[in-house]
Amino acid sequence: MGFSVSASTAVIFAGLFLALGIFYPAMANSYERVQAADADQADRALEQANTDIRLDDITVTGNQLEVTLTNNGSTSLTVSDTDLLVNGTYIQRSELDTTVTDVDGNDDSATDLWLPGETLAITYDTTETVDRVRIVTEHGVSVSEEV
Amino acid sequence: MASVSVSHLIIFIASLVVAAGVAGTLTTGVERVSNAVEDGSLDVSQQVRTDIDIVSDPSSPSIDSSDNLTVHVRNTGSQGIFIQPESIDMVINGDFVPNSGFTVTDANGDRSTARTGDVMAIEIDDSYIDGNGDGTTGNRLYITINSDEEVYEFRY
Repeated sequence: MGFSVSASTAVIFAGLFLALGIFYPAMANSYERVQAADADQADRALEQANTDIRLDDITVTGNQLEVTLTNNGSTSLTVSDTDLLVNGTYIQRSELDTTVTDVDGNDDSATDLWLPGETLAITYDTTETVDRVRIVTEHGVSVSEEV
Repeated sequence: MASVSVSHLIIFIASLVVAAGVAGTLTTGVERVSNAVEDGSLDVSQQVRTDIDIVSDPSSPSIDSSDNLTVHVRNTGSQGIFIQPESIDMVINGDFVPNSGFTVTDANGDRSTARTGDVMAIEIDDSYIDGNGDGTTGNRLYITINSDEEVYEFRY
């Protein structure tokens, strides 16, 4: 009788250890996965809060629209991720010509980087009258203005 | 004496069988729960990573000559979104828009996945939009992608 109790207790404890061995890695992996996603979201929220753009000027010369913006925040932005909407219509990125002017006044139309303090000029050939312009950059930060 | 040993042996075997049964049930149950938790965490992490933003201008909605509304949505999260109606749930003015009621395309090409910074164009059939084009009727569009919700309100 005495040995039966010890043996069955040993089997149950072995089962408990096995169960814990299965449970722990699953919980640890799950927690880390969600934690990493959370940290990523916090990073994005911080970058969004640090991002700010200012609309300096909108000029329409003939059928060419030129929008000048300044990166007023403290994050570097991507020129090719900056979108233009004219009268509510989305303009494809391939149709935009961009020039970044750095803080020393040097123009660069090939760069994809728009750093804090730099000015971005977007030109677009339009056939319609421009009433309203909206610019959306990374993290969904946007400015819009009536012309 | 022999009968005592035999009965002890039977009790010993029975107790082992019961203990093994309990341990087996316990580990199976825990394994099942562990798998479910792991699946759940994958879903939750993808939902946390998904973030969208409506690019379209609420002041001048993009409505074409056949009265279809186009809304542009940018992926601002770190999770790719498949460019297909199944990825998007939409409610406009309280009415659910079925997958047949709108089309979704890549706004800058013909890719099938919107990565971070990519923009999708969602074209909604005119039958879901209230108003006759004089700019006095308010509309409210509610877009949900992987539990991330955005609201777009405009007048038509």
